[in-house]
Amino acid sequence: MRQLIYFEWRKSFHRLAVLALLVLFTAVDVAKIYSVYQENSHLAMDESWHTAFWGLYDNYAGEMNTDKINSLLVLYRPLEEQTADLTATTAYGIEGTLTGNIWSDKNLIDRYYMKPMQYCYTYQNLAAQIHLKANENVSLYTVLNNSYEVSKNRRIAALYNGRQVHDFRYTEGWQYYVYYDFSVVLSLLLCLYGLSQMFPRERESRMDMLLPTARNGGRRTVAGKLIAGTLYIVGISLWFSVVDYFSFSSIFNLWDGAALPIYAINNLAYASVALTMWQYAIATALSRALGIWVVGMAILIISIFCRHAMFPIATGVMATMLLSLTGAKWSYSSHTWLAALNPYSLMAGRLLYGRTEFVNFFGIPILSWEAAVPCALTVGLCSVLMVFHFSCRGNQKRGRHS
Amino acid sequence: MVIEFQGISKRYGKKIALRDFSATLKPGIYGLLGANGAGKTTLINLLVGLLKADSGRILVDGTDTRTLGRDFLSQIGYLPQYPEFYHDFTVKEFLRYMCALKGIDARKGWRQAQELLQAVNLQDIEGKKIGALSGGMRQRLGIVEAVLGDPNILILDEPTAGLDPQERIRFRNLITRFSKDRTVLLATHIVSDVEFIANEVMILKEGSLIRQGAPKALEDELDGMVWTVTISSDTEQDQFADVKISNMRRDENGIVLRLIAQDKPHPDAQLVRPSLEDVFLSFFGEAGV
Repeated sequence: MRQLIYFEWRKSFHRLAVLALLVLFTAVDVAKIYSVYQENSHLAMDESWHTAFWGLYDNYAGEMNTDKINSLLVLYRPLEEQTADLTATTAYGIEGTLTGNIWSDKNLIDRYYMKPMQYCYTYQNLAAQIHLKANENVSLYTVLNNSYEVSKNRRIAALYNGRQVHDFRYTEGWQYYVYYDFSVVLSLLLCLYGLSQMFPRERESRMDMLLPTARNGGRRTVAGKLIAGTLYIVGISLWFSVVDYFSFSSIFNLWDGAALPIYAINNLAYASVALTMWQYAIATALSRALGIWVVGMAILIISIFCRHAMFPIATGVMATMLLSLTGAKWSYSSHTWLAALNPYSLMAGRLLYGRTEFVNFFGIPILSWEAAVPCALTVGLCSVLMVFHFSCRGNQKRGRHS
Repeated sequence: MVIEFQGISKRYGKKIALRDFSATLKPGIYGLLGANGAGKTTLINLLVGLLKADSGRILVDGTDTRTLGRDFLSQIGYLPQYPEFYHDFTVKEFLRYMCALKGIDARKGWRQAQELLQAVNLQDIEGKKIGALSGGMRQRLGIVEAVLGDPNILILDEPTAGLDPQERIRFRNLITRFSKDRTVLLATHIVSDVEFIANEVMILKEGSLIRQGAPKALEDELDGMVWTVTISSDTEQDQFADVKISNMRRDENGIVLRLIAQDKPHPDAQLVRPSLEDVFLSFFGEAGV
């Protein structure tokens, strides 16, 4: 079986074209991440901000305490007062400033220190409020005899119980990391390119006549294709997840923020998982691989019926566009089940993990990612069975020659 | 090993591809002759399990092939029509892959593959990509993969299609060489492929087995019915409109016609020894062509 898996890999993926595309897409991905930094981060746009920010960073990074907060306020309050009546000078090159300009100093500290630190420091209040409110709802719905809402609010209360952010770290890059979906498209395209040729290639080479007559050419070969295809999908999606993580970390300099909880990012305040950033990176890498695997298996089914790889590739590209459009649309709607079932939600992890959203599973509240993962696995496994069924039936039909 | 076909029939919708085919094959070379659409490939596909017969059964040493399962596939070496194989595989990679497909131990299989490559004179190209091979080399590679694993039954479907005469002769000789202690079923519409090497020829026409026998025996059936005559111009050919013309050749005297007819078709016609091609044409040819 190992040999069969190796040769299926060799047939479909161990090709110069795939390697070339991988290298090209990786370069494009890194370039795109760099452009995200250049176009969105003020630290990239303004050298003085970059110098000033990192010059101050060690003073305030790490566990937040009263001394650090007071020290920051000592720095910030005068700037706030100077700029309060909007008459402060706009000249550059002023002595004693961080960036050479009073307004620039104020905006830098406000954007990169005051607001983030305030968010982190006060997050525990937000979480405590949610926890309290959820417990109140439990009491209310108990009286109203609504068991679903009781269970749901119990889970919310447990999720937000004791949540707090102890440390202050630079998190701007994580914000963009969490919203970065470009590599999902690259991963999908590369996976489609490799997978769509798996079955048509047998037709093109006329090996589809020879394979079923060999001892291991029937179901074992199909199993080899599925395993090799799965390894390829997982490999490609994990590769791009690793590239994303290390590129964002290097370009934005996020290394010391990896141990922060993900709700330290203000757009993920209501995250349904209490993971650190690096754990979130692993979770989203795995769920991305799962989402792409589901799409990949569907493409394999289509490719069984195709003589050439172009049709499954085209179908896959259109499916990708459709999934991403519907994924974005449904994720901000009340159609939580649709959002959970859409494989794109798994690929763009924040759509599932970034919000505390429940779906009703026969009266039991389950988090949307808890629904999405087993649904995807079920759909994927059904697709696997269909691949076996249609590929073996196809062998019978292909025997019809004059 | 004895293969028995008992009343095999197969249809595709309204078209009858095979009609009540019965035959017994023992070790030796069997030529399966027929025009395009006669049912040769259908018969082969039924034997190798690619198709299920509508009626009848195939027995191997008395056992129905449907009950033999994957063990039966180990007994078969199959070369399909117009094989392309994987153009980006090297010869060595491809044969190693075939060993894995056939469930042959990798080391043992590669040793055997090397011996076979030697036998077909391809020993120097194991590192070459299949896409760089000529048609004849690819067919020889095909016979290597078919013989890999020492199958008892070798099935070759139109193996010489597209080959030049030299390659065709080489291929015929290889088939004879590999037929020792094997049953070889060679499906073709090219008579010369089987004329000199087959122990028996089976002629299929529109799904039915119309003749079976040794080439000489089939030729003997046509004894006294094959003539040659020389005519001086094309217009004289019109007088043979109702007769099958097996061959036409121009020489210094005119056009030499080879005809198949019960009665002497021309006063100057002379009887000649029938060939297997004459036999084939007597069933498939059109009069006057």
